[in-house]
Amino acid sequence: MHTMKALIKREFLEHRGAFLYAPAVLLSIICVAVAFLLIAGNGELEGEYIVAPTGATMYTIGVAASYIVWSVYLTVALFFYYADSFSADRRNNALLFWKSIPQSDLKILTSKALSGITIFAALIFGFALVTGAIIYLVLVVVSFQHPALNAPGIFEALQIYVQMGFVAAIYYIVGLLTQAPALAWVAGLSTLFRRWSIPLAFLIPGTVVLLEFINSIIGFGNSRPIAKFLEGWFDSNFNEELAAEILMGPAGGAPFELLKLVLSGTDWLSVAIGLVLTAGVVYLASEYRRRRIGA
Amino acid sequence: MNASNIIASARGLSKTFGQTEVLRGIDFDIPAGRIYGLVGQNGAGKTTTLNALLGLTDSEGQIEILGQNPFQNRAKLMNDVAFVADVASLPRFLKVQELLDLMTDLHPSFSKDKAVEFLAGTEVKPGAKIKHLSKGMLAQLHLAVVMAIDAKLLVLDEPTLGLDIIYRKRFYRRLLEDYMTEDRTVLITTHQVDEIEFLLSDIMFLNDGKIILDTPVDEISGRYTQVSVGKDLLEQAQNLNPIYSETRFDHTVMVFDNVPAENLEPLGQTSTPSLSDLFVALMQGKTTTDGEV
Repeated sequence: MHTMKALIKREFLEHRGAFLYAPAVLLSIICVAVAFLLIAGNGELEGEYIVAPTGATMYTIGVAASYIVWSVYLTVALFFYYADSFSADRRNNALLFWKSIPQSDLKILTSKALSGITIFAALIFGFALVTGAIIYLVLVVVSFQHPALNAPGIFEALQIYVQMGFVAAIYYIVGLLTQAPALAWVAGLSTLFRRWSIPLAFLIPGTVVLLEFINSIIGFGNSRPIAKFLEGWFDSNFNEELAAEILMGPAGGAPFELLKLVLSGTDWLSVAIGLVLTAGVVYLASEYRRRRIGA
Repeated sequence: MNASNIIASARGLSKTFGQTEVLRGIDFDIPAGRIYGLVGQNGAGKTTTLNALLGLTDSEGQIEILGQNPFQNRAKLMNDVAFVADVASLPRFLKVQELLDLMTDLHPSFSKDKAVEFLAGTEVKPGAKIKHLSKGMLAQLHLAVVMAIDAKLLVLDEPTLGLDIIYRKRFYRRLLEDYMTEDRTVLITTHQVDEIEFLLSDIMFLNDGKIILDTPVDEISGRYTQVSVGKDLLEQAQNLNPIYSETRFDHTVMVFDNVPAENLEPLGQTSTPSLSDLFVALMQGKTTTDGEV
């Protein structure tokens, strides 16, 4: 456990740019921009409100939006991370150094696989939490400038913050579990093809789907198993419309209704199969790494 | 040779890349407490031999390090084996301090205090980023890291490649003075045989995937003799079957294998060939004249 933590720390040191510095810079820029807008604002709202949402609802929507935006950032950053990390040790012959450490290739690649769903996900989740707190401060300032808008009270906001944080944590975990085979796919490709794994991750399934399509057109069979699998994987059972309805409704019960929606929209059998495939990719990649020290 | 004293051994070690046979069934035993030099031309199979020893590549034949198959047990073996395959291979994204901390966490036989002590007299500073270090500083850092590992076997593959003479001499001096004990074994490959001759206890010459010499250095003087022969005694010297001869201006330098000293002394000035002269003699094994390579 101690060495696994150290290996994950190694991943953090190598990739802190994408998961710590870049989000910190991004958040700082957004804070500065929002602060500028608040200071430069003239204190009057354009247009009229027919029904102004309550402060609690606005805060819930704001927090949910920040979690979704940061989860998109996490997905993109993890895609690029896995497109590189399994072959990163080959850069500058560094693999020779890591081979001199008494740690197996399987353990090292497992640490890389786990880093993405532990430390890096936690970091981005942390930025989402900070963003949630900033959103509250912004709402408070805006409510002073525009009395038509109410910020929730501090205790109510804290309750929403904690509850939404809990829901978002589950949402992030479920999302990572669901995405695991796709991330393993690009990681496995990077083991063999390094940076070429990024285009190949799309090109290979795209070609297969195209061939299936051509095959169905020329009449050799209508079943398109790969296309259907990918379609099912991309088109999750998560009901976005219902989620929006819940968010726009009374804030009190929203977090737990959202949680139910996240959990009920997950195909747990597919998740389990995906995790087995992911473990298989990590094992095969480690065997490849064990046998090949050259480029 | 006491079998329990053997650190590394190979029997019929072979390795093929495609159609090319890089190692052709070599045998050797490396006992503890020795400093072995593995010398060979480019492509002779030195690095492949080391890779097989370190478990970095699979091979045919039998090979054991500390009684274990290195390819099957590399991670476990690295507790007792340290190696430097390329001084530029240190991870560039780390600072020196971070590298030492990581080594402490990942290597049970690593002593951070020792590494800091080894680095104390160098230009390498703890806060420096590895990617900003010069090649000489990288070599110092890498050597400090491996010397801080309490290993039974240290393997160095061309450790001073690309370094200037000052760093090369410092590298080997520190290795001998600060690291070597009777319990430790060092295996070095290098092209610059002359530079490590003073520290070697044993030498192995590899040619075309085969070992052509494996002997303690102090036995070389009893077996090989170099004689500078004048023109008038050339025919007499040739009759003693030199393994190598090279004409230099007005005399011919010949190397003899296992020829009694009393037979050679009348032919001219005798001496023990240096390792580089012996290497050339065994590799070329034919007569050369001025200017021939």
